[in-house]
Amino acid sequence: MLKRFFDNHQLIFLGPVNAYITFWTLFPLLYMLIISLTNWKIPNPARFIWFGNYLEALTDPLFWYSVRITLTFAFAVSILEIGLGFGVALLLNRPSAVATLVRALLIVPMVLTPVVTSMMWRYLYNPSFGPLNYVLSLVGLGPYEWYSRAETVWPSLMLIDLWQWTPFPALLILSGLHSLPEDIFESAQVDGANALQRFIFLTVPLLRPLLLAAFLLRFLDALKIFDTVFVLTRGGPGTMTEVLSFHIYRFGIGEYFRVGYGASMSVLVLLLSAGLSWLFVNLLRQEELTHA
Amino acid sequence: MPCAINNRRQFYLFLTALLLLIPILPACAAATPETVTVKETVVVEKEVVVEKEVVVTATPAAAAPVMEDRDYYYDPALAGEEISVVLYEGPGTQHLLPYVPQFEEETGIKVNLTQIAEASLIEKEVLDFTSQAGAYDIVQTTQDGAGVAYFASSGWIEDLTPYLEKTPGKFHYEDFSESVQAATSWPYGGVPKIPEGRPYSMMQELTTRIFIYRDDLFNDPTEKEAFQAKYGRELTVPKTTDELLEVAEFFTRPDESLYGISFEGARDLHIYAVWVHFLWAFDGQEWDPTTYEVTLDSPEAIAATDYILQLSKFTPPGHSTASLFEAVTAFAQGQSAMSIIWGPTFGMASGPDTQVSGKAGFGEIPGAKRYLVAGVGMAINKFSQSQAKKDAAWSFISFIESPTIQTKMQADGNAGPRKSVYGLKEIAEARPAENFSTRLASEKGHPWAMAGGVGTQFVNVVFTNLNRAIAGEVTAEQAMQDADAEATQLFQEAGLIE
Repeated sequence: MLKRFFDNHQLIFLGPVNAYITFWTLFPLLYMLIISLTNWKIPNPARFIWFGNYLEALTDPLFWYSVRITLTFAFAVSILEIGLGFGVALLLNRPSAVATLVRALLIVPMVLTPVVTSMMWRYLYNPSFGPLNYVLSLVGLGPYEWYSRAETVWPSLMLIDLWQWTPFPALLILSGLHSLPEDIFESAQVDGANALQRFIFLTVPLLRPLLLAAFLLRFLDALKIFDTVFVLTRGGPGTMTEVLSFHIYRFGIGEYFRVGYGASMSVLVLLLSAGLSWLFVNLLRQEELTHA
Repeated sequence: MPCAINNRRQFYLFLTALLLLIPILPACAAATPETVTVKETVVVEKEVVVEKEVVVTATPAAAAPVMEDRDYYYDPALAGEEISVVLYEGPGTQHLLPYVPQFEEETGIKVNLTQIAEASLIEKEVLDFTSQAGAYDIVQTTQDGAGVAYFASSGWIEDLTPYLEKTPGKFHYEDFSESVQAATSWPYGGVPKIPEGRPYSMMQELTTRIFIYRDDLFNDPTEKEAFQAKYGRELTVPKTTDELLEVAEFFTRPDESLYGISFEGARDLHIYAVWVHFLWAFDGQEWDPTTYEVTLDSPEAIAATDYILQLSKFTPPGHSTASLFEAVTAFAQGQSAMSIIWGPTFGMASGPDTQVSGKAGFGEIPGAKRYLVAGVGMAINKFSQSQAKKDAAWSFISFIESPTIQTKMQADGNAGPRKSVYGLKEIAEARPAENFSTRLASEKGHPWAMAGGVGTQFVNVVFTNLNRAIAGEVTAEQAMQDADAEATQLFQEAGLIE
């Protein structure tokens, strides 16, 4: 009887928790939406200007520059991390004590806070005293102004992201490799397929949904890059690395305290992220249907 | 839900338990500090009222001896109060920390001190002001326009006039120079401060930029001979901007890992602090002081910016993102022959742990006509939770700023603002470079970016465009024109100009 009661009144018991979680998720979002329609700039009082902030952002060349460089960065590091991660996963997909140890060590970069990672790399990159330039000088290369020059600042930032986050897709793909059915590979081998053919025509297609999922997760995370830019370049040299998050921070709370304008840009970024997520989720669904 | 009967039951039982727990949890939390504070405030105020009545009517003369021997504000009724202080993470705070226990012992006021990195300090304070939470009773003010001008014009900090009036005469407010008084007052109208200017902050650390150089290089006979041969004059410590450029070029030898000069190039206020001295050296100004018309696109400002770009050619690698730390380290490691640094960093630049220990000299910035009044100060949060806390806050501020404590702090190396203290022979001899920097700021100082609520944003506009020029994104002229346009819009939005 108790069981029937619970079965028939699920919403009553789930409702409060759902309402609690929904409130704390939706309230900040709604508040941000409202602020984005005002010209609130600390310490002045706010006044509704409706879509004035959105118009300003959409007609600001620096905002579009930030969008472009952020999307490019996120796409590039995600692709590279998937590729590198796949390689690492293949190397670790053999039972050995070394592989087990390396698997454990791979987690270390991911658990470091981004600020600590960025500070560490700032010292490594130091053009005068950094170990990186010292090692390169031993083979007659450099010195390089890693994050101070237009030609090298983006590769330098990407290297930091690659170092920290390649283990994530690597571990994901490794778990995928472990779950692949062996009989298909045995059949292919019997039929005369070599290792490369088995990899291209079996391994990759079977792992495609996982690869897409890993790409989506990394891409959305990479869009939020902030700490590395804040610690290393502060958006410089000039405005070369003024990524979206830093641009919003600068105008919203960091330098100009234009909270309304910052909120409007945040909403635009939210719409962008939501749109991209919808696209990838649809791709994933199609993959699943294909495989089914 | 496709699960076993037992699992489902357990799941619903768990949910029920959770729902029952949620209302209970807040009751388990400690009573909110606000509740406790209100309660305590009521009790204290009651006690204060009673004590004052007793003291005043029974023995009026007894009130005077309480503060007789003190050179700071003290009220025994404040014993038991607790104040929150937020200060920046830096030398000024480090020098102050040893005296906090003494203050607590002498007054009975408990001090909770929080240190925050300078880059994040203003954000935290502004968030506290706008929420009117009163989390901090004492806030740090900085002299980059985001301090007194911003906070005072926004109505966030207390006018210190009534607090100074109830402080013993031994405090000697006149011991702070005209430049310092003007920089810590609002409204601002130049140096000396205008009659309408009210004090809002007390400077805790006063400094400015000084010029340092490798004494050994300038006195080296080989260097002198080579310089004479190349430039046709004797190698001397530069006194003008032209001389500085020449000497910087002379000492730039990348193959020897030696560069002419090091200073910040990164996109923050430190590059502004270097640039503004050359702006004034070239007779430029940020804006017209009477009309607030922005003058960043003037020939003088463009010339100053172009000069910075010329100097930047003789800096170590990585200049466009060089931080304060990296610029000072370059000198400390013997990588640069000269530098323009904050006075308190002289020890870091040439102390015993450096490659240039005992080899550094210091002096005025070549060509400089005035120096920015920089440093940090302390102010009372208008949204502090009670008047008692504000009085306790003033007690702490006046204690730290008192002649007695300032003498000790400056002997320890703090760049304190009192003329009577930094003028002492033993203080001047203990840390000559730091003392020199304080003197310059006090006697030749000029407040900077005192543009009310937009001063800090003005600085941001300038340093962003300066960095664009240093990075080669734009020319000096374009950088200043862009900065002028942005700053003009800022001032228009703030109502400073039409």
